[in-house]
Amino acid sequence: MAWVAPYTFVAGVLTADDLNAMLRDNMNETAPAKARQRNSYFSSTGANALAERRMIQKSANGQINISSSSYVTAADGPSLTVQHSGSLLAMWSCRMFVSSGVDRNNPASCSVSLAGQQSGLDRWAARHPGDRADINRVSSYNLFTGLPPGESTVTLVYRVSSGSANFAQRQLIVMPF
Amino acid sequence: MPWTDPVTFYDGDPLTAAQLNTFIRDNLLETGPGKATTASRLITTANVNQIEERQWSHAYAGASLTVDNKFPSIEENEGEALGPSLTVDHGGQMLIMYDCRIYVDDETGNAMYAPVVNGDLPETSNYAVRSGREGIQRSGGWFLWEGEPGLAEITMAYGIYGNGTVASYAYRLLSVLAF
Repeated sequence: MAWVAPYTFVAGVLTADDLNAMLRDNMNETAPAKARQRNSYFSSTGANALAERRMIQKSANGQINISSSSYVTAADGPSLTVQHSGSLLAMWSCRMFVSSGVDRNNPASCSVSLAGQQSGLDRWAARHPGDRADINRVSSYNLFTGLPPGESTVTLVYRVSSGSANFAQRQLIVMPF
Repeated sequence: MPWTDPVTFYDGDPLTAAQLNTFIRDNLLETGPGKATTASRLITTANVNQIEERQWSHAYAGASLTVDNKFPSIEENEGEALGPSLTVDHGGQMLIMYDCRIYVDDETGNAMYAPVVNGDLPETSNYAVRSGREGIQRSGGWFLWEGEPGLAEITMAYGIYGNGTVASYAYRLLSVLAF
């Protein structure tokens, strides 16, 4: 049942329909009525409507070597699928080591892609400067908005501009709204 | 009082005080405004039909801390963890965010630091910040901790991975969002 705007009572008969619409049905639209598990939170899905959401995390700790200049996925992701109402916050980080041939103008990058998207990923990519062969954990985040409400899959993607780089201890967190 | 599923009303049935107290008073006290006590907090779920008020917690340690021992070590000064540290009431999940300014004196090793929950490093170094670059940079990380609900003490572990490096950590920040 959808939320019904509470109306103003006037003297007279209080009907069962009044109580069912204003009390039973509206109570069932509140947060405690919709709570199904612990550690969730509530997000609005539209006017007078809430949905229970939950932040989730996935890690892939193994090391991968990337030499592709366009963003590619790894077999072990990590990747997460969430239900949302049009926006989600993605936060990710990984340990990066530049193994050869990358310079500071062409860094190694770790970004996230929604549904296989390939454009714009550099805008929110976490980057290793690339001018020296050192290990750093890099982190980044992006708030995706204006998405069609429903299900989205967020996947960590990797690339280098030249040479190759190692990525390990890769971690993805998604907070859907 | 716990949440009670609202009943269906029928014309002709008497509306009792007990029904009003159960389905209006007690249930309203279980809703978000009934639970809210303080500004800028978050309403989360504690279980089926149960919500709680949670909050961000934040700690800062500005002083520079110089470390030359191996990661992970929980640096102490006269038995007290140098922190920053927080004690947080949570429902079984916490988003932990941490960052600081790191100085590494040479590149033969890495400076690392990571949060410690109730004395345990989650999955060793998998969430640790690492900086292997000589010089100063600010680095940070985050992870989503999950465990049994209750009070948790979060502090930071520091240390070196590799040989020959001394690292300093300053402007150290720790933020925790409990669920």
